[in-house]
Amino acid sequence: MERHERDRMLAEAMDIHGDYLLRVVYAIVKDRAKAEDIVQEVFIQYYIHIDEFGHRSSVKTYLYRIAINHCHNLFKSWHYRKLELSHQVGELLVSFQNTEEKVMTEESSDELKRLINRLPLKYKEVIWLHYYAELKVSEVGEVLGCSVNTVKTRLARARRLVKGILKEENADD
Amino acid sequence: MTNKVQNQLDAVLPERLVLEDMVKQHILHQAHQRLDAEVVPKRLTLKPLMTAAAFVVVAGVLAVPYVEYEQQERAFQEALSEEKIQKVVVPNVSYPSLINSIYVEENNEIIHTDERGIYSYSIDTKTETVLVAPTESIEFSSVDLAANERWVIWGGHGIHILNRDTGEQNVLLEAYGSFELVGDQIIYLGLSEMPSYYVYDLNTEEKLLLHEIDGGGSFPTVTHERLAVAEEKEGDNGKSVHVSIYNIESRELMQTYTVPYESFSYLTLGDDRIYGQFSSNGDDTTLGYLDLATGKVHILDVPENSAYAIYDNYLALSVTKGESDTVKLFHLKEDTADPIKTLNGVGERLVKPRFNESGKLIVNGEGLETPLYIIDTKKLHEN
Repeated sequence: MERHERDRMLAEAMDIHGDYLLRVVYAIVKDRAKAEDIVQEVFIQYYIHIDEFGHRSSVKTYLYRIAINHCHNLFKSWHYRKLELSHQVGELLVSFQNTEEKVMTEESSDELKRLINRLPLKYKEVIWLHYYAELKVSEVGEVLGCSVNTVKTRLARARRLVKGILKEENADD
Repeated sequence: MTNKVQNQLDAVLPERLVLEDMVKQHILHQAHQRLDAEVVPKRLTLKPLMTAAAFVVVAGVLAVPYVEYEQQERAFQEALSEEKIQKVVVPNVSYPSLINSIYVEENNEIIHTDERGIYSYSIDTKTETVLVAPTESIEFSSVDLAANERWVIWGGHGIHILNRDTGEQNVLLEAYGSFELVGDQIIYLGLSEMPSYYVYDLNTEEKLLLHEIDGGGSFPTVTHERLAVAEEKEGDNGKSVHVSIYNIESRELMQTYTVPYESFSYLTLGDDRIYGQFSSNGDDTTLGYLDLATGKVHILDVPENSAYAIYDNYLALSVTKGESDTVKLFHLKEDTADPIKTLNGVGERLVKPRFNESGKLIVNGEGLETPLYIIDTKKLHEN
């Protein structure tokens, strides 16, 4: 493919999907610099592999699939494991040493933000991909590599976990 | 339909979280560079006359780096043909799976996951075997994985264990978070009265508490015999890192050290040193080691890097290359690093350096074939 056509396709993909992709990745990794790094890598991978892409899936689904894979990779990396481990240990120590203070802090924080941020990864992903990035249930399945039924089950559980705070009008698509 | 939900979710995000035009330009620029880096070697071989003409025109400026690259590229090809470097392409496996794959030297195989299962790819026969069959209950793409010739271990709810000889599976439910497989034992973070590091013997299923956690920090570093834990603590004299070294078999606390840094992370335990990244006061991290004989910290004189792996005197660093990075190999002499330039001849970006137990370096390539390179560092360095 000619370079100018490649450039055009990349620019178009960044214009259409860039903001939402960045926000969804941020919602998952909770770190702006890392989210920007991942989004940059997603678009570079798209640019390099544009010839092989072949429109087997939509550009949107393809981009989100690469992004989710990069998020998973980050969670497995040494650096993240170090941070996450510190966080886990910190949480465990707090739960042992200062339960009362922890409860008071939680009560004062924003309920939805707290609940969303505390969702296990598999529920957080489906919430953001389906409700925010507006991917269909089947597309979410394609991004995450699981069945439509699995996605529907996770969405239902995720909604229960956020205690019905999300004001959804129509659950399925 | 989901606008209300979308607005609610928007409120959870920071304001002005958009992909700025400047960032888009930067991505485009980076994409050009990465694509060029992948196609340059092919162009040079396909169009030697044009390359020669270009040499004549810009020889004064470009000759030296070009000749150097040519030499390195030739050295890399020779290393491939002499099997000092092995290039493994695992067909039909996605890059995210390969980046987390494990090379098991004893079986000459690559263990990898996809979304639903764990597989072994034989480098000799080029065939794939299912180790753990696809299941809806575990998402293999997002779990930690460890493997050797006898065991396959993966995370999820607890730690799952497959005995490769018998095919039996077991789950260690009380494990929490990260773990490491060393021979026939795993070291994991467990929770009883206090969060602690445990050693679990996979043959006897015996569990031993080694260390109660008393501060945040990096996951411990382990060898077959020893475990080292570094914990960040705040005392009367400010922040420091407390290091404890245990004999795994006897469970004895062998040595303790206090390191005058706020953080000592990404640990690698050597015979008489613990390597890791040191930092204090929010400064950038620097690679160095704690000398276990003297208790002193030595900072290594090495290029700025974003990741490292070390085995004996061989050091692999992810170092800046243009606006991206790639893995380069070094030989440590005293506290400085001599480059081993053969890897410089690889046309693609290399990522995620890691050594196996025998000292072979494994890196992933990000070219079109997304290969794994298995590098026999000692053989490479001998010539």
